[in-house]
Amino acid sequence: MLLDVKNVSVRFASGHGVQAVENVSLTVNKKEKVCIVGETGSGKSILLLAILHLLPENAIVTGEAFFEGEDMIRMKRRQLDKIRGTRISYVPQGSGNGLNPLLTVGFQVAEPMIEHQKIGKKEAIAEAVKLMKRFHIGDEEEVAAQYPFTYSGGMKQRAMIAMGIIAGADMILADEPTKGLDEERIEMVVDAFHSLKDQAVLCVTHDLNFAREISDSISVMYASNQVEYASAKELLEHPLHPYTQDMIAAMPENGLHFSEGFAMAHEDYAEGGCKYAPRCRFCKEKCKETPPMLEVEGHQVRCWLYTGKEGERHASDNGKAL
Amino acid sequence: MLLTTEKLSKAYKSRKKGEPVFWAAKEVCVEIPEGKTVGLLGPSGSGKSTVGQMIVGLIEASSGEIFYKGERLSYPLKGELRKKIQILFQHPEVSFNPMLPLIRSMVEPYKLMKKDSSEKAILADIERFGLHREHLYRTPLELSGGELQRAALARVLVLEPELIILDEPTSMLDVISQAQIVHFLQEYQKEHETAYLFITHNKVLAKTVCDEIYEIREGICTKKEM
Repeated sequence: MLLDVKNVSVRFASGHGVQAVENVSLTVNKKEKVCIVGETGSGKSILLLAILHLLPENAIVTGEAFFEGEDMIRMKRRQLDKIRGTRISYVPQGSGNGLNPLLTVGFQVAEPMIEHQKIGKKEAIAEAVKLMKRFHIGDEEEVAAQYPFTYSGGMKQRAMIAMGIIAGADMILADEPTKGLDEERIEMVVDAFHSLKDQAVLCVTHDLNFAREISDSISVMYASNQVEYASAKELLEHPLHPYTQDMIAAMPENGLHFSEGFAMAHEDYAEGGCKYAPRCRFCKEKCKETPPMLEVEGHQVRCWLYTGKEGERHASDNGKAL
Repeated sequence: MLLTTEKLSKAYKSRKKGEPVFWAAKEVCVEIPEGKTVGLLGPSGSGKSTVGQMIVGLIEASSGEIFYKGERLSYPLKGELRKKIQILFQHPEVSFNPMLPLIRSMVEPYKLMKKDSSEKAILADIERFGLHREHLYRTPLELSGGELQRAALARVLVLEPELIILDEPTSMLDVISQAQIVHFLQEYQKEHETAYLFITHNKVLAKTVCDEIYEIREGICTKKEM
């Protein structure tokens, strides 16, 4: 097991105190690709930032996130600096803003090697050019010598992924790598992820088709809760949680099925209880209580519909029966 | 035909001398029938938004004509026509003044149409979009993307448009909100025979929603067989 996230919660101390992430557990094995899907504001990006220690100071993070046996949540800065960038790397949202407009892309891709492995600039850039060729960013060395403004969104995103693995990271955490890209450019990003044969990936996305293409397992988040977690195939073909079901039915390829009930702003959710209840077709009295994470047919699902179902047992904190 | 464009083009001159002009849209011919949804499909930078914005008059065309119910349009649009051709933008969060509570932005079209702009009248219109009184007194920052786009749609419909340019209206929304916006658009079309120009980069979405599709690439637009 490479990354083991156990009961991570994030609360922001400002204002009313927003609960951004509640008790999320998931695991990522070596070379495994896991996607977290959910709508804007579901807390999926915050979870990634919490694991990486990149949240502002008013965020209160609880729980544990073991990376190769060491808890990143409690790690000291010096120790974090040793693993971030070399062992675990981050591809931020909006790749265009992640690149420095005043430096060539080739140099920026090479920078983790220069910084962490103390390799000479020339050598590192040569390595970057090799990697950029592998990701089909450009076959010529000139492409690496260009500045970000000459790149398309898809090229920038792939350059960011190259930057993520150049220093030999075993794991990439990516935040919405396809946001704002059109179909052809999404295809390029899919190819780049497919070529990450030796790395594990934890990727946040709202694009279910992209998740289907790249992931082994998928975790679904809704309003700060993890509502379902299963292998990608299982989850997309036999979704159990009503939210997952509604989401899949609403995809254009499934006929844009309309469901009553609307997404809400953060402050409108009641404390406790199932967060999806106000929109749920199956909502019943019981849903005012917070549902436990259940293990049903190889899925983990947080829904009262499945209590008492055959094969169900309360999932242990970190158990994942895939 | 409700609206036709004839050889509609937009060229941008390069600042450097001797460089060729850049054609954002070149001789685009599109026909939008009454009460139908026409798709304009293309990757980013293909010129699809340029065409939409030329039709509403946000961008001045370099050449070509636009005919509305057989009459040549002259821009800027004036009077009734300006209300009849509307646009719904991609980013709902920038469609509203961020400093004002939603209700202040919502009353504008009511005043323009000399309709009753009381809170009660607005509520009666927005309820079908899943918006309630509490939403009206929030600023755009306190509302979700789905809520804002539904409010933007409700606001556009007050003007009783005959044609709405939908410029990627769902690309920033989650799948469930996307299906809801499409559902409301289709319901409204059934009731009012409104025509839509649906601009998108999503092939599957275009196929599901549109009656006819035009494909645009590097400014060149062709009609696609369905």
